[in-house]
Amino acid sequence: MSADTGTHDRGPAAVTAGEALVQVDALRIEAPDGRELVSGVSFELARGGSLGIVGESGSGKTLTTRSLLGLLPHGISVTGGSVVFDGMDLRALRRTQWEQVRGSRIGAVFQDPASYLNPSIAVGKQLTEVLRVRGGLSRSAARERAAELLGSLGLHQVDLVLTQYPHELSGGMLQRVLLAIAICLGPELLIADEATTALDVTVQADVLDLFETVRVREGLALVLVSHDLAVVSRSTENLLVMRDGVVVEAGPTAQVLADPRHPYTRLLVEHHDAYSLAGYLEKETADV
Amino acid sequence: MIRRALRLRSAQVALAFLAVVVLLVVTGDLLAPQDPLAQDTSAVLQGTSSAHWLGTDYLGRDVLSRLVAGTRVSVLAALTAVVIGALLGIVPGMLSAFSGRVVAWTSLRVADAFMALPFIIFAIAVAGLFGNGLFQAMVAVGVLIAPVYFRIIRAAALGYAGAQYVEAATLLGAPWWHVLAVHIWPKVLPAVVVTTANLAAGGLLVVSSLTFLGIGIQPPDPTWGGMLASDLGYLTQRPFGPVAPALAIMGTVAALNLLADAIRDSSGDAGRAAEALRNPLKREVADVR
Amino acid sequence: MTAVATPEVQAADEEVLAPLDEVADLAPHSPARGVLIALGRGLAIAVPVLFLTTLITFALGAFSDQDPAAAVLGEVATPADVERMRHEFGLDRPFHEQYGSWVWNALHGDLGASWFTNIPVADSIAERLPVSLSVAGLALGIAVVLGGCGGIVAALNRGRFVDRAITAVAAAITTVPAFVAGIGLIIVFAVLIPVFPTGGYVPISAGIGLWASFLVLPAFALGLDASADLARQLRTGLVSALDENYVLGAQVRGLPWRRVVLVHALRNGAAPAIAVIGLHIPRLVGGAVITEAVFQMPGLGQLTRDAALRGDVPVIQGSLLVAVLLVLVSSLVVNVVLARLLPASERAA
Repeated sequence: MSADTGTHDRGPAAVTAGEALVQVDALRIEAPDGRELVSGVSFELARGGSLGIVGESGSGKTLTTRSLLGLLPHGISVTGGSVVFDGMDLRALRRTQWEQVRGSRIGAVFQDPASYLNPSIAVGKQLTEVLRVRGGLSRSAARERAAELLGSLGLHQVDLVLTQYPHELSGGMLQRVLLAIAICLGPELLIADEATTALDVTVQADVLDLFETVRVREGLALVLVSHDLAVVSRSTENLLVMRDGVVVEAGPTAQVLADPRHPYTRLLVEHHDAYSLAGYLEKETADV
Repeated sequence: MIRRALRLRSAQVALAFLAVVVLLVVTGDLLAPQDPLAQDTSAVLQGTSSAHWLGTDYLGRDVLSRLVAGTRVSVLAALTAVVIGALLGIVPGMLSAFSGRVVAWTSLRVADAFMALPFIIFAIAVAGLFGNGLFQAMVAVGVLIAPVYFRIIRAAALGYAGAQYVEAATLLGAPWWHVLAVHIWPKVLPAVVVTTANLAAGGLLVVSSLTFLGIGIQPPDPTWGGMLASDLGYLTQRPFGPVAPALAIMGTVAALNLLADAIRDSSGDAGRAAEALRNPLKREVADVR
Repeated sequence: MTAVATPEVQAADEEVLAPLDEVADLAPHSPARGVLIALGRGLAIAVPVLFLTTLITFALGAFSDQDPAAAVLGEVATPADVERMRHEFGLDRPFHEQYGSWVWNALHGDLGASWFTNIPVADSIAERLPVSLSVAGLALGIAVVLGGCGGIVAALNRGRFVDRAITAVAAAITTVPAFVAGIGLIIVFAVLIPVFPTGGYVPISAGIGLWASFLVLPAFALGLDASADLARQLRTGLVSALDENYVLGAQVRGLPWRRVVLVHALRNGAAPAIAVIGLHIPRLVGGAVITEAVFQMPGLGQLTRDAALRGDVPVIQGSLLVAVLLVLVSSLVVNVVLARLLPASERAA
């Protein structure tokens, strides 16, 4: 971890166990007009570990994770620092090399799952496509594996779901399908970018639990990006707080939340306490 | 809207070209340097010279004079079709935006029926059945393009049919023609202008095609399409003969289309309704009420 | 929210995966059903349209001032001759009866006979149709290949030189009428560089190579406009499809870029272009008339034109009917293809 000014770094606690799977150092991302969107972001993530990134929209958290996928929006590019995945310099990859990394080593799910599935192709076909094209499975083996995967992610009537189109499924079901696609090739890293934001609160909890289950079961490392402190605090070991393209605070999640040092983090925690049900109930009892 | 469009260079060039065309339509063969019908068998199929700037055709007639003299027939015939299409299509288009589902569905199917008829074959058929006349043929083309006006104007008006001020006017007891004239017409005007320019270009192509086929003209009279047809027989002697009439047709068509594009780009949503018709999927979207 | 706020790493297991109550409307769905629906909906529109157009077609003939007696017998005909002739052709019957029997006969493949030559109209059309279909079909093929490649290449190079060049050429081509394009092609490829014949037609039985050599120029002349329009629509459609999240989604799965473009983006981005093909089919059928005249091909267009110049009503009616049928059938095909390609739009429609 670099000691950028303004970053409240809690040192080696950020990496808990095992070797680092992801090492991002002094990452810089610029817009075509030269504006710096991400400046000097650094973090590490251990194999099987979990990292939360919180910040408001425009804080650079999504761009940071996109650089791990090599899929920055048109015109935006990484201009400095290093992004290393399992000892491999991701910045040096060409398109065909990226295609080998994405899906099979790094998977991702996003907000608004319906939009990430092709509206004109049955969801089963989109899952088996990956298993066949990337996994080298035969048509029937892919179909079997797909059904098994969806079943393990808590979907019922799997054979029916496989033949349905995205507009015929609910948000929670779609996010499970996307999760199945993201983990079907057995990646080592899963990126979940606001993956539960658009879902109902109860479904959100289900899906978050599912991430945790899958992470432990498959030995995945997880990067969970959200604007919502509650989401991140629930399922991550370490936490980055980002604002305006800079990491303002980093450390073990419980520690950061219990004892926020940066004013911005403090603000986030206070807001959260004030507006969450727990905070509301506390305040009520205090008033009485 | 028009004024803003005219600031564009492309629109200025197009307008300058069209001004020349209009001048030729008004003056007819007065501006022709020579008699467009005068034959000179001693000088047939010549190239460009000081006597004949664009050369002569197979009967030794001056090509430039015939080009100038042929402008009026070609342009007026195209305008006939456009005017008829506008008269038949615009008001029903505005009205259908307010109609119920049954009327809307029926009128759209009638429009589809006319749009399914191939323009040129239909125009040829009408010209053949009602005496070999260009006017009859262009009336037929006018009937066929009315549905184009109908659909575009309907799509443009649909957006305003539900507007609150329109509802308010209706509630206050304004008669339907008043609502159309005061509230809807100004909104769909850009779409009307753009469509008219596009259809005038299309009409000119149809006129040229028909006269090229020899439909609706008497042989000695010059038309752009007819000149192309007669040049086609003498390609080996005068391979670049068709260039002048072809450029006259294409130049006018391109000028009209450029003007339409410029007006559409500098007008708001209503102008874009005309563009939407080019994209049939958007067209279907516009029809969903 | 209290439960969420406390970071509790739960022991992973199956009880977390509580059964989903939110099984949405799980109506069984098959692509074949979508196609059937599109077919039914298309027919529901095509049949009334066909009825209307036949009525228009027939009414035109019936109310025209053309008369077989005057046309065939000429100036010397006596009123009695004319009356006999009118009776022979059934023209003295009421309009609805004439229309009814015309439709009835047409359904049995009988379109009447020419007033002048007495040759059955259906026979003349059957003889000419292969010519027109060859030209229009090849033109469509050229439009799809040329426009398809142009549109895809332009979309993939959005904003670069190739894109601007393709867009500019396509815009220029749309101002060129088919017969001007035809004449231009003749000048260049038949007169200046004589590699193709200037015109005419041989049937496919004379050899595929020879047949094709007569078709290349007319088909190009006819198909240029459609390919330019197709390229522009495909570019627009594909550019917006490439901006969609599902393209990003497909990339995240590590699918090869070619597959992402050709399978995922094209499937949705091609829809407007395919619909444009539907719009162009009447123009291809109608434009064939002009192209046939330029290249002196004995097709349906020439038949109609000659009949129109003579006032041969049954032939005009017959060829108009065939042209409309061609248009309706092909737009039905286009709609079915669209339904197969985009099952989701079935819901919106």
